[in-house]
Parts: sequence; structure tokens; C-alpha cells
Amino acid sequence: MKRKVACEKEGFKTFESKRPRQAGRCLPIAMLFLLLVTPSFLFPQPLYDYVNYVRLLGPSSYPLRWGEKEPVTDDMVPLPPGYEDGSPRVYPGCYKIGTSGFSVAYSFKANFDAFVTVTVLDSENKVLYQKVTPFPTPPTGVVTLYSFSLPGYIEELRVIVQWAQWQPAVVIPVFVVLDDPKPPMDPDWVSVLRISCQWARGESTVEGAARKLTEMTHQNTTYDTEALLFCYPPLPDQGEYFYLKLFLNRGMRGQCNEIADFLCCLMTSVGIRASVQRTNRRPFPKEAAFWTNKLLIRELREGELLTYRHHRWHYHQYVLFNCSPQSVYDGTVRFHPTVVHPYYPHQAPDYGYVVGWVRGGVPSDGDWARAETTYRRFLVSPYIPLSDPPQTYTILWEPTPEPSGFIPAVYASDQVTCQR
Amino acid sequence: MKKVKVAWFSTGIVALLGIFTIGTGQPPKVLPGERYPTGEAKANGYHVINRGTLRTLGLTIEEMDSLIYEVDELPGFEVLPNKHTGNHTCIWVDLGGNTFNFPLVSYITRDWYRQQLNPNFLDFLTIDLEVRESKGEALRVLRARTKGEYARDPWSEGSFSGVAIGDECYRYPDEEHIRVNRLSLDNLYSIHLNFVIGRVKVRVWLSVGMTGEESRRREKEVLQGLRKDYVEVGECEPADIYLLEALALGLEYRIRAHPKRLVSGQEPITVLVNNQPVAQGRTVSLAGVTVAPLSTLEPAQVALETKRTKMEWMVTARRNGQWVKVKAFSWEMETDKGKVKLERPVFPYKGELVVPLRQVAEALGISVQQKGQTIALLPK
Repeated sequence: MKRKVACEKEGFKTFESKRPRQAGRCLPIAMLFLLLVTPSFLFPQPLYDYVNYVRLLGPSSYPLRWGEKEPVTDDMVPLPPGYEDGSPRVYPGCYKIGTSGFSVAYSFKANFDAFVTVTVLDSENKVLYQKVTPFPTPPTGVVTLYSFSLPGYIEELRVIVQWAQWQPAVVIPVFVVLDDPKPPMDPDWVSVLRISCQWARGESTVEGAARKLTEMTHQNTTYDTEALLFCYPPLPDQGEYFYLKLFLNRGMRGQCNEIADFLCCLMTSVGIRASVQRTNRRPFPKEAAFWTNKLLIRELREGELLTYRHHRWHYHQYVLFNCSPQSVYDGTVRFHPTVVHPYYPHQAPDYGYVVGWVRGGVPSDGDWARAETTYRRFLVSPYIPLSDPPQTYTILWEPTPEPSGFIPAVYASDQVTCQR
Repeated sequence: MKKVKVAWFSTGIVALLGIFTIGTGQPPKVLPGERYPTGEAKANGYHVINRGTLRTLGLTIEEMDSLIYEVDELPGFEVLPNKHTGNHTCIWVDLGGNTFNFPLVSYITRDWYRQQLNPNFLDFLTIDLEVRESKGEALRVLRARTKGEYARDPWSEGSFSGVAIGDECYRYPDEEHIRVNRLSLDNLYSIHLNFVIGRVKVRVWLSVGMTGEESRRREKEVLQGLRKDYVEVGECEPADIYLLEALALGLEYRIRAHPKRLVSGQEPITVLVNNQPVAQGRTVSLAGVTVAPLSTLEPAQVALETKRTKMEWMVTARRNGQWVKVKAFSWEMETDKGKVKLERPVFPYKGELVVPLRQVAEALGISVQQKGQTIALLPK
């Protein structure tokens, strides 16, 4: 109770408990209307005309990079999150779920006292927290966000700091992730977090987030083998370079290499440990290593072409959750949800998405043969499709590198793209 | 007072026009090595990179843009902005040009879509074009992507109909795979042509897909056992192979007619009307068939009438009571004597339609004589 009184003295308000005054409610609506009817380019309001700095203080943000250029030292997002006079844009922050103890330090270019509003919105514009300082408040000071903690699930929040209500607001993006970002997303890329926090929004467990990211990767990437490619796997066969910036700018198109590397980046960006593995060792066999069972790869840009069919592949690439072959996630393929596997009496679970399946296919995987969701069993056809009578062939299956895959080297540059 | 009102009104109109004109049209201009973001820009649906600080292939962003069809040049098609990036076109000039360690490439890609008569289906079209340092390098890349370890299921050599496209051409899928797809009740409308002309590698990709809403509806029905599969044979129109090949030949024309000589060893063709050269640099031989813009025939008393809408681009050429009607991407023409199959398709280039010169000229009563690289049009 004492704490509540203390908070109220300082002007603390939650959105649910106290509504802003009538004038305070009308003014933003009027301002919004004015902004809508007035083309902003006619009346630009650059932040540096109004703001010396706005800083989000308290727990330190995970280090971030923009994902725009190399070397990484030239690409880092300055800390703390917020805006500094003269900076080209607002710096985002990234924190673990449930983090609390934030405060906002501000200094506005004003020669009058007014009030400061700090509002935290989620990605659906729902107000999670709001605090308005009492009038008059000087234009420089610190606002402590008492009793505010980040949600317990993945989310992209916006912390909006505004001096008086007619001045432009500083909007600080805050990414909420499950744990420390892991390599290769260490430091985490802002361009990747914008996607991963949106796709896995609301997930509070690593398994749930990995599942959601896999499904969304499958739904939003395009399998395209002939365009300019964004991976380059050098020999020896222990890893590959992934040119993530170009991959994102091209609209997330690529082969299983790119899609698996991208899923690995998405997972590691929200704090999941993951690696990438191939079904076969390079150099790949001249003839195909295996025929696939009927599966769906998404070959289109916008609409969905549901083409469940057999493919003849030299290799395939997928993600190992927690770097373990006991838990495969694959954002490239999806198995038909209703077609019973021709040689095993069960259907593909999870609507055919490969989420946490046992890889299988090598003795070290233990009782893989009994597991219902054995990845290899669903992926690889033991017969040449549509051969009549059924014709067997030699399947090549040498997961590489064993046992835990590799971490792709991720770059924001674009030179090596030309090689493949 | 009235004048003041009028002034305010006209200012408002100008401001509104300003709002609506911003965001359409041209790629942004980017000079190599611009400070921030380094040699890179995004605007109007374009993502543009220029890395040519140390080395260059000699093509500007605008020249790369002119190598493929313009945003509004394909009747019935509209550009398709990517739902994540908002880009419908990427133009990346001189990738690798800021270092001496890697091969150089200039790249352009653009996506279009077209609504089918059945509103649940859409056509998607993607054109990718890469300019390389040499023909050998372009062929290496083409073969790696069609025959190499990263290639998808087998590509077949040549075009679908057998018409010659480029120096080396591959198609996907082949007849065998179309048959396999038919048997397995799959949708078979994803057809590709991948070819090299000089030092340019081109990929044209046409496919048919369902809208997301329709595919979700069908998936639900499949799960409920009301439908055997998502797509049934006969439900879609046959894949338009002729359109794909017409698009490819139109691209070949652009590359061969490009002033920067992307194809070596190609001798220019001269067209003479009344002993005066016409259409210089715009007459090209596509595997032995000479094609030229319709305006080439205008000095021979041919009157052109263009009807261009969002869905159709048609030109009627008339001369002394004889007439020819051609449509963009069609392989036939209508004449006063009936329909005639064309040796090469009709395609657009810089606001005109390009046609097989001899066939169209002769249908209009113009005699054509060729000697070496010189063609004389002799109005009768």
C-alpha cells in the first residue's frame, strides 16, 4: 500500500487503474488527426530539433548489431538504447524475458516545464505500461518505471517517451528474448530480431519458440535453387558462409542451405542453442543421394503452391535444436498431413512440420527405428517413386559434420555471393 | 477573399498530387561507395546496391533496369512487392567490385503476378538476370545451377518447344517430370527457363499458385476427408509455355540490342527503306530470324494504331488496304487474309512491339531482300 501511495505521488499510472484526464485523452486524438491529414514531408519534425537525449537505463541490453555492414565493429548499435542528439536513428535494446528495473533518462530542448509521458506498447499496440510525470516537470530528468517488468514471452515492445504532448516522441524498440543470444547471432542482429520476435511472439519456452519459428520459416521463405545464392560452403566440409543481409533483402529466397541457416539464425537470436547439419558429405555424389517421399517445399512468393511431390536430392540441410540429432527442425519441407507413410503405419504429426523429430539413420541415434517421428524415415523414400514394380536403390545418408552439426558464419557483406 | 480561397485550394491540390506521385516509378540513384548506407538505397519498391568502388562491369543501375521488362510492360501482370521487404525489384550492381578477391556480378530481379479467371489462382512470374565478367563465367554459373551439386532434379537441355533461345538453354521440368506430376495429382505449373546469352545469364520462372486463403480452405477439406488432394488434374489451365518462351526471347532481344555490347561477335544489322537506314541498333537476329520494332515499317507508308490497356497490348499496322494485327507475347498475327503463325513471338521494347520483320512486312505487301547484314524493305 505504501508503495502504491509512493508511486502515485510520483505520478505513476497503469493503464488499467487510472485513465489520463479528459484533455489528455482528447489531445492525442486531435494530434493524430492533424498528423494524418498533414503530409509529414511538408512539416518535418526531426528529433534533433527537440531532443538532447533519451536513454533507457537499468539492466544492460544484450549487445546488438544492425546487420548492415562489415566489419562488426562498424555495425554495432551504441548502448544504452535510446536517442542521442545527432545520431541517425533511435537505438533499440534487447533483454531477457521478465527483466525489470528500468528507468528513462531524458533531456529535451525546451525552456519551459511541462510533463513527460512514458508508454510501453506491445506489437499489437496494447498499452502494457504508462507513466505521466506530474506538471510541472523540468525538461531534463529521470523517470523510474516502477513495477514494470518485461513480459514472460517473446515480444517486440516499443517504449515511447514524449515531452509535452505536441512534441515528437522518441520510440525505442525493445526486443524481449528467452535467453542470451547464441552464436551465430552473438551479437544479435536487429534485422533478424525484428522477424524472430514477430514470428515467435507470445512463446515462453524454447520448444514452443523453435516450433513457431520453423512453421513461420516454412510459410514465409521461398525455395529457389536457381537465383543468386547466399551461401558458400568451402571445403573441408565443416561449415559455410551465409550472406544474411542479401538473403533478407532478396525476400528470403534460397535453397535448403539458406533456409536452414536462416532458421538457425532466428532460433539463436531469441536465445535457443542451435546448429545446422547436412544429410551428406561433400563433395556430393554425382547421382542423387536419395529420393524423397512426397513433401511440400514452398516454391512461391506470395500465394501458396501446395505441391507435395517427390524430389531427387544430392543432400539436404536442416537445423539441430540444442545441437542434438535427437531434435531436428526443418523449415524447408513439410510432409503431407494425411498421407500415411507407405512403409510405416502412422501419419506425419504436427501437420507435417518437422519440429523436434529424431534424426535417425545412423546407429548412434539409438532406438530411432522405433520413434514415430524419425526424420529420415519420412524424408527418404526407400524405392524410386512410381516405379512399377517397386525398384530399390542405394541410399546415401552420412550426416555431416557429426555429431552436432556446424554453426554457419553469418555476414552482412555481399562479395562471395557471386561465387556459386 | 475568393482569390485567397482559390490559392489555398490549388496549394492543397498540388500538395495532394505530390503525395500521390511520390513512391512510384524509378529506381533510386546510388553512386558507388555512398557514405550511408554504403552504396545502397531502398525506394519505390526497388532495393539498389552499387559496389563498384574498385572494379566495375560498366553497367549503371538504369542500364541494368533496361535489361528486363519494365514494371508495367507485361499486359495483365502487376509487380509483386515482397511482403517482408516491400521490394519488387532488386538491382545489385558490381557485387564484388569493392574488392579484388571475388568474381564480379551485376544482378537484377523482378517479381510480377497475374490474377487468373478463377480468383483463387494466381500466376507468378520472376525474372533474374546476372551479368558476368565473361561468357565462360556465365556458362559456368548456368551449368552449376542446372547440372551441378546444388541443382534441383534434372534439367533438360533446350527450350520446351524446341525454339532456340540464347547460346545455351535449359528447361525445367522435362516431359518425364510433367508426366510424373500428373500421375501424382500435383499442380504442375512451375516452369523455368535458364539460359546464357553472351556474358548474361537469365532465368525466367512462371508458376501458378493458390491464394493463401484458398489453400487453407483446401487443407481443411483434405483433413476432413472431403477432398483427396489439394489440386486435381484439369482444375488449372495448362502452363503457358508459349508465354514463358516469348518472355525469354524478348529478354534475348534486349540483351542483344543493348548498346554496351553484352554479346561479342555480333554484327549489326542495317535495315534500309528507300535506301535510308532505319531502326539502327534495334534490329536483331534471334537464331536466324530478324526482329525489329514495328516503327521500322513506318517509312514504308505503314500506319500504326496502338491499343494498350492494363490487360492487352495490341497494334494494328495498315498499308494500302492490307492490315496486320499483333499482340504482345503472341506467337501469331491476324491479317486481312487470316491468322498466320509467327517464327518468333511479338514482345514489347521501349513502348513499342517488336515483330519478326520479314513475316510482318510481307503481310503488308512490302518485299524484303537480304544481303549479308543488310535488309532492304521495298514497298511494292
